Amino acid sequence: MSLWTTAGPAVAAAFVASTVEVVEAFTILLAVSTIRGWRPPLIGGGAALLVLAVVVAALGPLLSLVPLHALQLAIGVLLLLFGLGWLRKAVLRAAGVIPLHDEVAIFERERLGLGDAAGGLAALAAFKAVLLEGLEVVFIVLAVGAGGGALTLWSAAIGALGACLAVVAVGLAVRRPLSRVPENSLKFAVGVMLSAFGVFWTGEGLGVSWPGDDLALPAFAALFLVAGLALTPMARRRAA
Amino acid sequence: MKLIGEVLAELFGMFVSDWPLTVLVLALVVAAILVLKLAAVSALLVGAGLLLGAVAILAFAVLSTDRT
Repeated sequence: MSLWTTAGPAVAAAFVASTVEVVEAFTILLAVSTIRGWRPPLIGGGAALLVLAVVVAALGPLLSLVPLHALQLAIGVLLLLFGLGWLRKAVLRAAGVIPLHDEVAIFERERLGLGDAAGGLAALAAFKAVLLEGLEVVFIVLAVGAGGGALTLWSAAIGALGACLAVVAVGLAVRRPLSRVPENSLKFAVGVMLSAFGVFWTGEGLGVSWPGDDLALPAFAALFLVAGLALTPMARRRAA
Repeated sequence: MKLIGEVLAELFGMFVSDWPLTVLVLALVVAAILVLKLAAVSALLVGAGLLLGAVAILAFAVLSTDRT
């Protein structure tokens, strides 16, 4: 196993998956900032980040108490549920069976929903958005990284941190909802990667020695990618 | 309390937003465990079944969804 085959998929999966979540949180922070300025979203978002830090600090040491195979099996099943769910929705959105996720519409809905809300309510909206999307990022980092030891866990954390920095930097530069992020394509890619990780960790948890060790991951991802691409026109035809 | 309830509901929804898919995935994993424990089938064969079963579940979940 090389450093690249161990760390590469974890960094990429965590980066892409976290990008989707951070874009969703940023859209709401931006909507809140247009109503009450940047103070409430900074206070609410900052408080949510503190809560997330406490959750990570509390959960981190607990992971080392769980036997590795049990941890791999549990994480593998959760990843399969999460990954196949994302891939299903991405295929259905690409096929036009269900509507695409629209960041501009969410931005407007959030703005209208807040109306002339007081600073406290605006901060609470920011807190909730950052906490929810942040918990999903924490789950993604733990799920992608925890089954493979310290190297993959750190790789996943670096991928997620890179996504946060990239989205915040681009978002602050354009100061608009990041509607041009190809969100469905990202979700398709995330669904493919998380499903591949899910099968890999579930198998490892059951005692399967995959041929090629970590090299099995790209092969699994290729299979889910081909399946997703093949299912898109089939779903489109079926819904027509 | 309302906020905690909403956060927990959102987290729960991450995994069970589509319950037939959830049930099928859990059934696949339970079947894989049972085959491994009760039958003398090699772990690699069970792994292959897990992989192909996951792809089949994806196909079923996609093709059984009606337009919204």
